[in-house]
Amino acid sequence: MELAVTMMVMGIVASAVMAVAMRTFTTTATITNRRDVLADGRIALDRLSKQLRQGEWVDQTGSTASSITFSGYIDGQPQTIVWEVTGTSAPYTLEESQLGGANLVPILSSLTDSNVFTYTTQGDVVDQVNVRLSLGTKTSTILLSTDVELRNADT
Amino acid sequence: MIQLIRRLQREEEGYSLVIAILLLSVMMVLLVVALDAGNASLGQSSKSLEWSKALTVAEAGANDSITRLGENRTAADPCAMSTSTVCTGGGGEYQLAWTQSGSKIIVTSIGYYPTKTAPKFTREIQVTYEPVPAFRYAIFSQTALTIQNGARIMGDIYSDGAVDVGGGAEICGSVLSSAGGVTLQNGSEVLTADPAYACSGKSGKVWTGGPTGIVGASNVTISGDAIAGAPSTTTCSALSSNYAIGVSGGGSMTVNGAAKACGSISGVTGATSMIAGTASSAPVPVSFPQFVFDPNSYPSSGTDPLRLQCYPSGGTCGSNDSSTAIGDFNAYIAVHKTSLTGTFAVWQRAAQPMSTSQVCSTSSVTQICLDGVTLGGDFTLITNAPVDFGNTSTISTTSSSVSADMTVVSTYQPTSGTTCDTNGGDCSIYGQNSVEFDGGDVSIPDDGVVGLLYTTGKMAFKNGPQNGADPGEGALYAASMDLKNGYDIVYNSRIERVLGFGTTYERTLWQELNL
Repeated sequence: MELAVTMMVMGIVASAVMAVAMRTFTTTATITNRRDVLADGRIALDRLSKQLRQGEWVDQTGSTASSITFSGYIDGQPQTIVWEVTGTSAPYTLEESQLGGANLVPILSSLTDSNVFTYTTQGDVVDQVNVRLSLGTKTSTILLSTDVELRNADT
Repeated sequence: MIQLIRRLQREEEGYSLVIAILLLSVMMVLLVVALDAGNASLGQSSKSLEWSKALTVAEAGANDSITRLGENRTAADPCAMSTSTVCTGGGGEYQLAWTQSGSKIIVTSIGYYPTKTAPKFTREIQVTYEPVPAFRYAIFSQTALTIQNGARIMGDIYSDGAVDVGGGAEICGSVLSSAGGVTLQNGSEVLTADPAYACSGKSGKVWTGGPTGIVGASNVTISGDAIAGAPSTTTCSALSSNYAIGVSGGGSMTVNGAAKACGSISGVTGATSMIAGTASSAPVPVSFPQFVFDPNSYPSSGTDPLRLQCYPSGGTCGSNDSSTAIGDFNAYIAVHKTSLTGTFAVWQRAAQPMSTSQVCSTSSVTQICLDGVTLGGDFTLITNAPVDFGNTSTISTTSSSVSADMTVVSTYQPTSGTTCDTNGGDCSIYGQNSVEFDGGDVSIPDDGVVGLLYTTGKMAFKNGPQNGADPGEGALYAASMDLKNGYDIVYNSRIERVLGFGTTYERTLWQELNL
């Protein structure tokens, strides 16, 4: 009797475990994707924040919601830096150039929204930039956002 | 058969335990996986947070250093980088280093999170502090100011008194007179831009606060607004000739912006709007920058070419003076005039009026003579004696690759009742013929020589540079000044921050360095 009951319970448990395992495999892929996208987003956001924080001025004529051109410093050396969203539809790619727009290098390729940059001005000078990264994972959208004060802006 | 069934029943015993253990194991594995996934995510967030904290710690260090230096410029570094000592703040530990270069203080701060001995993250920043800008005008006078015929001034002009802009003179900037009027002679212009001198984005505005208002003439152009303001207690009237905008000798002048006056408006064409008899504020009086000498503010390292060198050298610089200070410094110039650089304070006992009857020379004992000098780098002269540029020509640098900021501060006060004009006299700063700062390419602000001449007394310059020469770059600040024809100047913001004009420092550069 106990064997019969055990076999029945085990059957149920095995089915449940199989279901959970199958679900785990799916979820693991989702989590891995989410983790990778989030890590890429964090790296991009940290990199962009670090550069923007050292920014002197934002080229307001050359900057839009999907592109920013600013002068800043890389390793203590003055540079003109460009970050630009490319692509015609999601997923968009966020690219960086430390050579004034030449040799753009992809940094992030899971953007769902091309509107990344919002500018705050004091007088005529941009002294703060909001960076909003909308990252698409397999199952959802993650928003990473930060406000960066340009420490070298001449306000 | 019965015995067999009983045996089988006996062998079933214990299966539940096995299944329970199996089930528990599976659940524990799943739990571990779930917890690990959670931990990994939490770890990532924590690392990101700690990385940010390390920057906060480094910034706390930079703030700490400037607080200490603000209290005492010779303050000791409590947690120098070359030592094992650390300071605590901002949630971590930091080490500092600071140096002074000219008027700049450069602070380097390394932030360790959580500690230097076991850091998870380390970030380094370098912050540059400079005196707050005190010199924003190309020409600043506390009394009436005359811009001579044909002069070209690229920059803003301010005077507490009246401003007379000579015929054909060109000003790319604005003209402000807080308590006087502005008279613009025939053909003079106040422009918003002049591409020939890389001047752009200026207001082209003329703004007065005195009863004379704005008086133009034929062929006068004001590219910006023309505002004849008045003190708030003034009763304005569109029929009044006080605080008015008008034209002398008939004809008309062009105003491309708005024309607004407390009094009447006449002879103006082209204005976007004309409002007469309406209260308009006068320009807010601008304080003449006050100079305070503190020897501790200047570099003192023996290896620093910009270290403070004092005449006389004994005692505390600024407290002691000498009857031979001028002569001693002129002797120094005689030796070093082909590559002059450094920071010099010259304190003459009972400074006398300069002798303009004698040729300015390095043997002068009544005035510091900067005739014919060539700069090897930045040059700052602070003195209570008269300064004479003599009959020098262009002041340039030893090479086109060398740029130099030349600052001359004279606190010499001419005797009351004496005169100082373009022919000399009792002047605090005087130049005879063809004095020019070689500003290099006017479109490149970082090259050449930029000069700031400042005096609380009187300044006069005779003829300007030779025909065709570019205007000198810099600014002139004097309680009163007299400039003869063709003395041109292009304002350059390199001279806006000078040590001694205000004690406040501000951050001018913030950089994160890679470790």
